[in-house]
Amino acid sequence: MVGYSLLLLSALLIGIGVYITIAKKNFIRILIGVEIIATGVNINFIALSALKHRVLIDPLPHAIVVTSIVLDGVLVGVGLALTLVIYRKFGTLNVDKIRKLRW
Amino acid sequence: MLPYAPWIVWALPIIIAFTHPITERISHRLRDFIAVAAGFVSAIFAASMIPDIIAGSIYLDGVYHDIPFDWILARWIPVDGIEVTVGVIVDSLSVFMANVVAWISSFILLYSVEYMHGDRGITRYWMLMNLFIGFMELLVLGDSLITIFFGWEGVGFASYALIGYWYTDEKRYWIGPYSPSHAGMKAFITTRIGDVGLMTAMLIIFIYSGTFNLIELANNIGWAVNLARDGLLTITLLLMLLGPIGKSAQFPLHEWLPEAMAGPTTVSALIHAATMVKAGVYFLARFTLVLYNVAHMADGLGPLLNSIQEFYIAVTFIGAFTAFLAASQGMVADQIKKVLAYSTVSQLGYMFTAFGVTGLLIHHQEAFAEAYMTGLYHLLSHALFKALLFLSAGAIGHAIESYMLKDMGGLRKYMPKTYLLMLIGAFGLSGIPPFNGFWSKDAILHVAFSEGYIIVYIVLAATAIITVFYTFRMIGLAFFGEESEHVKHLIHEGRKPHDPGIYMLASLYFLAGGTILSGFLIPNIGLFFSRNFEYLGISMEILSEIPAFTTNFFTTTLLSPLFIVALGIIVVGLYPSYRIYIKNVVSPVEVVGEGLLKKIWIFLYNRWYINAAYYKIFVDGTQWIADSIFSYIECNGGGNLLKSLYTSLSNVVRRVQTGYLRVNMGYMGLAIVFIILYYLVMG
Repeated sequence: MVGYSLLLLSALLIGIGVYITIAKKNFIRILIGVEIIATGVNINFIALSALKHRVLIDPLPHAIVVTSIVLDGVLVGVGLALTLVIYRKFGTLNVDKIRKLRW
Repeated sequence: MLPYAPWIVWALPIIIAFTHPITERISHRLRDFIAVAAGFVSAIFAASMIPDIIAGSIYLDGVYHDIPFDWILARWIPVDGIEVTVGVIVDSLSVFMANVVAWISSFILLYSVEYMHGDRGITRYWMLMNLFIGFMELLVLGDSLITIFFGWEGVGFASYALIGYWYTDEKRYWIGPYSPSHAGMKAFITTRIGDVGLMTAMLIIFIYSGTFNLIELANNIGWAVNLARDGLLTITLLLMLLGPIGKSAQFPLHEWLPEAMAGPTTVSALIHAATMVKAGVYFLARFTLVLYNVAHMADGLGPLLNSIQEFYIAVTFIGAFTAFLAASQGMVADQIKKVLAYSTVSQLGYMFTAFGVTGLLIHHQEAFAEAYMTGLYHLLSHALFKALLFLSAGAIGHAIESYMLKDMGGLRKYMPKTYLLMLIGAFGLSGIPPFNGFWSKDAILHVAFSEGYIIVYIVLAATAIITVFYTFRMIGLAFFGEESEHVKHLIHEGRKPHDPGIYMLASLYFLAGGTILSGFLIPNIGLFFSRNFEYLGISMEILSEIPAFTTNFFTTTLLSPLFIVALGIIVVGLYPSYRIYIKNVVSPVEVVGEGLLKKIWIFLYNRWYINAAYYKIFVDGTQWIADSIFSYIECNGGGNLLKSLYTSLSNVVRRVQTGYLRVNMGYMGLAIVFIILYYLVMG
């Protein structure tokens, strides 16, 4: 049953993450939301392997998730760098004010 | 035979071609050396096959193979039911051609070292030259229609790239109104028309026979029987003829060759002497062997034999007509290379006629063998003297930096060696005994006359008169008479025209030697081909009674009444050009005058208006279609419709893009919800 609880946790994290990206205006907060989604996805991966084998014994998803976590760190780095550039360019981090890509 | 000789002959130049960009980085001399050495090594490998053919069998892996030997090394396209193999054919014809190509092109490469020295982009030149030779060798050695076609297209590509070698189109490289890149494209497109016909015929034959292999095609004649039954044999053979017509520049696809002079002279020599235009003649010779077998195994099948007959009638008439057409244009050409180009088309016409007559004699073993050899003798003679003439013309061009005949004149004093060498080539071309052109051309005329094709004989004899005339017109304009303004200007500037250096002269001496001697090898070449004829069922006893296969050839030629006619031809052709161009007794302008001759002159100078008509119909026609499509469909009609359609569509759709990040994330959330719902509902 560890699988189902993990699945639920991951759904919850993804839901929270999506809510944050929709509701918040500050770019850094949105970045945090994205990171939460990424965490949810990682947990989802473990959860599905647990569902398949009933217990947490398969090392492959763990190995992949460890890699993914490392890449998440990189993602944060790139995201923060982008934040910096956006702040320098627009003078604000309010995403409602940054609307250059609209029609 | 050296190990793997028939493979190395064609593979080596192709492989070496791709090493030039590397060796160029090390040293330019090394690159030039490797390029030339590749030619000569390949030629030595080609020559090493001659003793095996004479011995009559090929020793390979402990087994003696009969000739023709089909050496298959690998499967190439194994689809179920269809098998295309990579193989070479080793027999008299392919070894003969491989040697002609390899040796002549090697000396042209040697000549290039000096001729092309200092030209920019010379790595590209060496690459393409080696590729050109390699593909030509593949063409002559290939054992199946597919292999031949592969070489055929490779030769086509290389010739395109080399004709347009000076692609920056400086004015001095133009031929008449055409730039080098235009000329290359013209050659490519014209020969492509022929190739489409050849490919169609190949595929039709494949559908009926299930094989591309030439030996299988010769031995299993079911395809020809079935094609004849369906009434398709004539049309298939004629489609197949389009390929050689395009490659060998016969009427109606002959117009590309005069413009092919836009490339470097060495390229012209290679195209005319060893590669490219000889491909069509070779293909005809090769397929004649197949059709001979077909005709003999299917004895008594009327429609089949009729089709073959019709095919060879077409070959004969195309050849004879082209010979006359091109020779008549050669009389008025204003560029030395163009004179030679027209003469090539004309001489190829002779070879086509020879093979056409051969095919018409398919039921008379002796006459068939004799006529078949005449075409090949002339191929060899022409390869030698035409390479010599072109390379001498190149030496003139090198010295005076122009190929216009009006820029020459009086060069005999300044370039005595070139003069003598070119004179030898001219003797070969105009068929003056004892040079090789006399023996081979006379053999063709002799066969045509003795087998009763009087019209062909008359056309060819008339062409021979014209040939003598324009050959000595060229010599006279270049080497005799007053120096032209251009030459005087050069001398005034201190750049006196002079004989070329050692590399160029060495090649010229070799080719001149070949022009003098190759005529005396004719009986030996005939015997060399006896292997192929034995395979066709024409035994040595029959061959040894034919004069062309014995040393009696020379005495019979000289004692026949046609020899008097041949001498007459030379005198009639030589006299006017001697008076007009060499002794300058009367000026050509006076001779032409203003009357009928002037009209003929204009007609000939405009190339019978065939070129103009082609440009009017095909080039302007295509342009017209393209213009109408552009203005009516692209711009005003369909184009605007499409534009307004997409504008209205995008006006609707782009409202989705609000620029608010939260809206985009909302879409994403909605999409997730929908996907989840979909799987919940659909199970």
